[in-house]
Amino acid sequence: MSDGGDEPPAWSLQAGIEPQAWPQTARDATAGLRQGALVVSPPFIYAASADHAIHAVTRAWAASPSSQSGAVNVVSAEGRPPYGLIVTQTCDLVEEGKPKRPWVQIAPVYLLFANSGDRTKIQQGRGFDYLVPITGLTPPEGALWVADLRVLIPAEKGWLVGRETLAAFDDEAGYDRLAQQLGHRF
Amino acid sequence: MSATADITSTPVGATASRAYAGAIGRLYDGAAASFANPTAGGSNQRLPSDARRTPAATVADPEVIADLADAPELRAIEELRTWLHLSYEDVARAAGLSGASLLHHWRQRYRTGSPVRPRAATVEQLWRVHALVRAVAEALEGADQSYAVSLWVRDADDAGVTPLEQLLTGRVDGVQRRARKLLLDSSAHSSPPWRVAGLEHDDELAAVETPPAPTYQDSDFA
Repeated sequence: MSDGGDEPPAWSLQAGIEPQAWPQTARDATAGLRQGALVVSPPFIYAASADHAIHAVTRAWAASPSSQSGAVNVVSAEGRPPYGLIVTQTCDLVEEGKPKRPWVQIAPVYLLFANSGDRTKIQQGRGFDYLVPITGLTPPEGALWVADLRVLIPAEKGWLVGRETLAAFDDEAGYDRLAQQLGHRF
Repeated sequence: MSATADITSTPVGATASRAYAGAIGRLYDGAAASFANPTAGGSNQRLPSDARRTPAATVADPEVIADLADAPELRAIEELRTWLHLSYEDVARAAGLSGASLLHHWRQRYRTGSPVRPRAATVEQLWRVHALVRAVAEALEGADQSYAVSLWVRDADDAGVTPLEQLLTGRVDGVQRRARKLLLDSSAHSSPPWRVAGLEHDDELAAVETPPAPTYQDSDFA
């Protein structure tokens, strides 16, 4: 056993939950939300290696001084998705009673330009199981609003305070589809 | 083994496929309650005298269905009971059989290890009704669920006639006509217009002309 002097502290997510320390504003921010809510201008952050950059955004970041951080963090509005889709289950998002889940997961939502056949495939769920059509937004000709489940960005619930949100789907079937698509994928 | 053992425990001419007939005898006894004339009494000696069967006896036990894999006609009867929520008497009517007593006879033969080989002509309507109702069940919500098809057969048309009434009076053609749109018109399926299926291959988006992607500056990152 250690004498308690030089042993590093055991890292624990649980130790920092501290429900009594949550600001009420953070709790209130999720009260009216549900899985399938859109949030405007979400964060776009992920870990990456500048030496082994894959995505075009990562390659651009790798050439910037910020690559020292090891985390891609796009701060310009033009370089981020215009909307994010909250995919966290509603019960975990709202958390009645003592809260214990500080984070929500957000999928980027963007305009996907595709031919008619591919758009139909996506809308009908034939292929592209990582794309969820967003029916609450009106796309321009030749495009489709989609949420992309290939990357989910975590955001602490406090980030939602004061954010503009809107419904991602124009009927309940859209929310049902999202839940089933998430269940199928994860 | 006791000399007075139940015959279901010692099937006559038992074969490997019938070896478990005794084991499922208890399940039969439960299902057989719906054959009993409510006033006859004593039809099921394993039930305590104060036990009362509820209308739930018209719902087949999935274990009974599973154990009838090698008795296709009996299995079809049990599946129809599940989908339609009918008594044996009514299932026999829908299947064009002479009555519940015939089903009871088949079950007795199966239970005692005797072959159940009805004539093809006898079971022709059974299989036709089974195929039709199964197709409707699958189109609505899957053959392992019975709620939607049970409602569908009880949904009256403009003339006030339900598919179930048509089935019970042998008018299978009428039910088939009503099911045609559901079965053959893909846009009429109640299943959602999208399906999340496991992909057998990963689709590629076809290249199309798109607006230019953003170009990033150092200041775009933190």
